[in-house]
Formats: sequence, structure tokens, C-alpha cells
Amino acid sequence: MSSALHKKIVSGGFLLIIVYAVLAAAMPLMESFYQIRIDLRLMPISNAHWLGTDQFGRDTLAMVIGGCFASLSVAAMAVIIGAGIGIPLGLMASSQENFASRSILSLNDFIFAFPALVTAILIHNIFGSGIVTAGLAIGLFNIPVFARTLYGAARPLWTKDFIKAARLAGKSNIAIAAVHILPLVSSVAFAQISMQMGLGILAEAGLSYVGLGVVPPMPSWGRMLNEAQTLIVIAPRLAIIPGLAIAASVFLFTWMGDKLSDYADPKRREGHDHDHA
Amino acid sequence: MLIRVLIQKLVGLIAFLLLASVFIFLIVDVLPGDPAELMLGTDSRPDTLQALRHQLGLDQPLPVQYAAWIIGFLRFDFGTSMTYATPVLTLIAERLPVSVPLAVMSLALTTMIAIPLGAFSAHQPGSALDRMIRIGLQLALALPNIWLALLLIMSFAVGLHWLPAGGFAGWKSGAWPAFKSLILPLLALAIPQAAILARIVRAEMRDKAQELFVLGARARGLSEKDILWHHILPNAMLPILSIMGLQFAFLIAGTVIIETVFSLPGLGRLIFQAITQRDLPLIKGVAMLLVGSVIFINQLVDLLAALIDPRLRRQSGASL
Repeated sequence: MSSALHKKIVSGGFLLIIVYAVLAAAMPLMESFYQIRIDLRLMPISNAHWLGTDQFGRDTLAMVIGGCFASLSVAAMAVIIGAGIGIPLGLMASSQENFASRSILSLNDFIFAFPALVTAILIHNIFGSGIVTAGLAIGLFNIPVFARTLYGAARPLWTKDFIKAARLAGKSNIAIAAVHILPLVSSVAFAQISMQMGLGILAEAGLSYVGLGVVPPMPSWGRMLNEAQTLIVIAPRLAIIPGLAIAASVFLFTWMGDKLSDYADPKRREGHDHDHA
Repeated sequence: MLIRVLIQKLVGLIAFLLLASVFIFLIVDVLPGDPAELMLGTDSRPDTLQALRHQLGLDQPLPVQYAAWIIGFLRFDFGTSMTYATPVLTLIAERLPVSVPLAVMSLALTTMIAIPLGAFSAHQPGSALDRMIRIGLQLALALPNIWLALLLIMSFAVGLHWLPAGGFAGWKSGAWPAFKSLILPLLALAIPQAAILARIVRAEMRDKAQELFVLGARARGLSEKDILWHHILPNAMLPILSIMGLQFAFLIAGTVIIETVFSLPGLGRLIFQAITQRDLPLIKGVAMLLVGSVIFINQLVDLLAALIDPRLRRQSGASL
């Protein structure tokens, strides 16, 4: 793939992400359309309701647009927690082999034992169901993901001559990590951010499905799937539409993540692959 | 040397389990405030609250409470569920015949799908087959397993009537009827997982394909097929295995959610009932089991890797 085409594709992806963010911001405008109107329940697709209505008479299109907000804000919160803590940890661990770096790596392995679902179950009593519980639970699991990726990307850089020169000049490890290492690994970080946004949206849907995510009346794609399940025979579209919304947005972010990591590592462009979820 | 690795892993296992138990104890029992009030509601009578506190041992100092909980584990006593008035361990044991086969079989299915797909894709990078597989994997990766489950129910249960839409026939009704109720859950769990794993298989195999032993094999005149399956794949298996260990956490979470979608009487339903009923001993017990199994599997994978590959023994201290 030529690099010009590659750039066009990546900017196309960015444009779609911006559209997605605008839709999420439009949630308050949608509110009047997803009020409960029992008299309008289970309306088919029509000019008034482009995607029909659900069993409570809420407009499905408005619910889908409103659902952008929950998934985007939960995924973004999880990425801010994961990257905000994980990136510094990963860079710190990469700077030298000592007790501190080994402890960071061990802590990483430990946090990997807490999938978002289990954390959400545990903290549910403290924060209840909502954006905070979902964001924290997914964010905790994101920490070791970011730390591991950044550790792997930064580790080989510390033996380079210009880093040794910076050390000789008396710069501290923290200063070197912030000034010299971070810019070099930023593309890896952005690729991982995009990937984790996608996986965060996926995780939010799962949590909302089982009732640990956002609560009504805020619309959520995961809960739409849950509510649609009993109506699968009479109104299958209610289950199909929110699933498409989840799959499309997850695809957008994970695909962008792949493209960005091609960009981060041109050697692997054309048939590379990236770190696990 | 081997003994040292074994001891290291054992120490690591115990340390992680202890850390996890402190973590769970703090989050469930300490942070929310008064567990008795949480379980009974704020408008309950003071003497009822006091009685529950005493029954749960909440009138003891925190370290004593924690110690009692941990010592219970060592005696296979996970505490007593408040809503069922049954030992937590008994409740868990009742659910394992659903959850464990589901998790194990979906892991097997995931591997059976992912390794050939990843290998075929890595065989000729950039070829038409590779591109097709990669697009397919990217799409499957984005599939929410719940949605996939609903689509499977729509087509194979509601549409074709081949398989049940949910519920579990029970192993007593025979192996086939019981297995039949697990087929759709298995597919819903395994397909997105396999997409993640196949991408890793491909990446690891492409990595190993750059190494000198591949060049050597080629120089000796081995066929590309031979090199791929007998030289690259076995060498890529170790990193693949360790990432599969990390994926085990996803498998656990996925199993719990998919059990809910298909109303299977597994650990998933148990823990969600425990949440709605605020059954704290049950929540702690199931959470400890889930987290503990992830920790155990990962230490086991690390140990196996060190046994298979002597090079890993030297650096195994780094990952504890």
C-alpha cells in the first residue's frame, strides 16, 4: 500500500471517529425522542420512525444515537485511566532492570487476573451501576495492557547511544523517559489507545447487558440487546440494530488501531499484527 | 535449577492469591461501609442489623475478619451464602458442571479455529488468502459475543429449530441433550476469541519466520509447508501459549456473560443473583474463585514455558 493512500485511509478513519464523537455529544438532543410512549410501542420502520420503535415506544434511531454517549464516555474513561497510569509504569519499568521494575511487571501480571466483569461485580456495591463503575472496571484492566505495550516498545531504546549520552549529561531517568523516549513510542501508544477504545466499547456493551453498566433512562447498546432478547421472534430488528452499532464502532477503532500501528512500525506494514487485546 | 523455578512459581502463586484476597476483602467488606446495612437496607431495625453483624463476624476487628475468611479457604470453607443459607462452596460446586465444560470446550474450539487460520494467513503474507483471512478476523474481532449469541439464537433456534434457544437440559438427561444446549453458547464464545488468538498466532509465526533456523531449513531443501508446520509453528507455540494464559481472563468473563444470555445455570447466574440480593459472602467466594483460577492458569503456563524452554528459566525471576 502506498503511503499516500495509507494516509488517506487513516484520515478517513479519524473523520469517522469525529462523527462518532459528535453523535455522542448529540445525546441531550435525542432525549425527547426516547421518552416512553406506550401508545407508540413496536412501531415498524416508517417515515416518522426511521428504525421503528421498541416495546416502550422509544424511537430506535434516537436510542442508537443516544447510545454513542455511554459507550464513548465509558471507553474514553477506561483509556484515560489505563494510559494515564499504564504508560508511565511501562516507561519506568523499561528504564532499568531492578527491584522496582520487576515489581511493576509483577503488579501488571497480577492486575491481568481482574477482567472488567469481575472488577465491576466487586465495585458495584460502592459505586452502583453506571458510567463510573464500567469505566473504572475496564480502566483497571487497561493499565497492564498499556504498561506491557509501552514497556516492550521502550525497552530496546534505552541502549541507544543518544540515550546513553543523555544519561552522561546527568539527566534523570524520568526526564529521559519524558523528553526522549515518550515521543519515540507515542505512535505505539496512539495505536494502543485506538485498540483499547474499541475493546472498551465492546466491554461496556457486555457490562450494560448484564446490568452493571449505565442505567436507564440513559440509552445503552448493551442494554438494548438485553431488552430486545425477549422480543426476538416478533421484532428481531430490535436485536439486530444495536448489535450493528456496537460492531461498527468497535471495528472502526480496532481497525484504526491496526492502521496506526502499521504507521508506528513501517517495517511490519503490509501484513503485520499487533499485541493481543 | 528446575526446583528453583518450581519454588519461584509456587511463591508467586501464593503471593498473588493472598494479594487478590486482600484486594477483594477490602473492596467488598471494607470500602462500602457497613456490609450489614448494605445487605438489609438502610431502613432496617437496629437490633436486626446488630444480629446480622454478629452472625457475619462484623463486630470483630477487620484483621480478625480477614484472617477468619482466609483460614476458612484453607479448610475449604468459603463462608455461608446469606440468601441460600447454604455453604458457598456447595453452591459453587453445583454450578461447575455447566461452567467448566463450557469454558474448557470453548477454549479448545478457539484453539482449533485460531491456529490453522493464523498459520494459513502467515504462510504467504499479502496473498489473497491472507488478505481474506485478515479481513474476516478484523470483522470477527469487532463482534460483540452477546450479539453473536442473539444472531445464533435467531437462526438456529428460532428459525431452524435445530438447537435450544437457552436453558440447560442437565447432564443427567444424557450427554447429547446436555451438549446440545451448549453448542450455541460455545460458538458465541469461541468465534470472537478465536479472532483475537488467530491474529496473535499470525504475528508470532511471522516473527519466527525471520529467524535463522528457518533460513537453515530452507537451505536444507525442506518444503515451505514443512517449514511452516514443523519448524515455525512449534517455535511460535510458547509465546502463543503465554498469551492464551492472559486471554483466560477474557474467557472467564465471556463465559459468565454468555451463560446469562442463554440462561444456563452456571456461575454467571449465581453471581448475578448474588449481586441483586447483595449476598456478600457469595460474591466474595465466586470472585475469589474466578480471580484465583486466572492466577493459577497464568502461573501454570509460565511454569510450563520454563519447563519446555530452558532459556526462559534464567529470566523467569522477572515475571515472578
